[in-house]
Amino acid sequence: MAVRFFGQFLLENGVINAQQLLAATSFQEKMNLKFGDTAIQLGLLDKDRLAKIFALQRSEDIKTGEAGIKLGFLKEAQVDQVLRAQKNSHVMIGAALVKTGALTEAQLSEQLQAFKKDQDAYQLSTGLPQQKDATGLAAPAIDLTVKLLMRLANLQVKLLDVRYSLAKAGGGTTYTARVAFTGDREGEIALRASDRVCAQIASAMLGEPVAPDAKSVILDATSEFLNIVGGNLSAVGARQGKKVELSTPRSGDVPTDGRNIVVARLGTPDGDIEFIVVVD
Amino acid sequence: MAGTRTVLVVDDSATIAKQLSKILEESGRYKVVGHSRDGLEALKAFQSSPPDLVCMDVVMPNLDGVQALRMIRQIKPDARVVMISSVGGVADKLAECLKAGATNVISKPFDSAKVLQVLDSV
Repeated sequence: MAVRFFGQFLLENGVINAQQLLAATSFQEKMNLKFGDTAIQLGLLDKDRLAKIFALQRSEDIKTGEAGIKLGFLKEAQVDQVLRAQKNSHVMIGAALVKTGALTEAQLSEQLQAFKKDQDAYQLSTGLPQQKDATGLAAPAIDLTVKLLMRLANLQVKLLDVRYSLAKAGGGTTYTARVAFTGDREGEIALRASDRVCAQIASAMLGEPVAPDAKSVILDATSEFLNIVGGNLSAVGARQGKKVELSTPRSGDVPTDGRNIVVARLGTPDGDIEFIVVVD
Repeated sequence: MAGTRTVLVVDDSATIAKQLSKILEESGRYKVVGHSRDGLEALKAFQSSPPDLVCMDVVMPNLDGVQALRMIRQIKPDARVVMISSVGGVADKLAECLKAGATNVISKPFDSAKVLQVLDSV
């Protein structure tokens, strides 16, 4: 199994236990303020303006600072000031484990080296070769999916790797949600993951617990998640001067014959998600 | 339920219909009187009992939202129809809906305050 996060690496290797990891992440949550909270702390925004920024972000794929500039609440220099303050005060999980007494500085240094060595086996793609992403849509689609999984589905997500073929689904129950697109570019986007991971996405979408065996509810909710990714992707296409229209969501195996396929493997603490972009 | 407005929700996604119905019902200002899964079902429901408002998805099977909107407006020219779109960033889709007679558009994912603000204003 691929290692996703440093904390999980330490846990799996028995360096720390679950309680220590939870204590460290709680410490991080307390110390690491989000952009908006940092801006409020610096006196650059108030709560009302931050609420307006969040409202804008629900309809546009835009960062908090960019939204603040767009609404006239912040200047570029102020956004830089907030980002610097965030960076300077950010506590990484390793430092949090030291602060909460789970690791010594020497142990942290040693484990970071071991983690880096392990991660080298899962070297990530830093971009897609042009011949593999001729439409220019796969890279932004992957980026949007990662962001939206974090924002809408409350999942911790990490891009593990990018492949150009689709293997058959592994063991266990998996769900595949698909949304086709037409227009200047034709193809589809799809999301394949275990019942457990899909149930998490569905639960977040519906705001209530969804059992992993609630097939129709899960497929509907994950399809709708994908539909939102597709909607954002069509906006990206429009900015590139390409018209991309979505079809209604569907489910089932993704046909691969003669199609250009990009598969992004996204790691979450509960299992991988395969996000698939197919261009006909 | 005096003082509340009746709403027909039209979306092929049960997830979206549920999310939207929850927002509307919890406000106490709206009563969701039906859920149609496509444009054809919506037309039938509208003809049999016109609600005060229709909230309708743009992309749906059988009869899509924009076509259904045009037909609803033929049945009742002053029908209030708010379109639900996941393509908020695409100006021409928004324009197409408004040209076809949409009263307004709400974007997915929903911001409940924004949804109610839009519906209260139509």
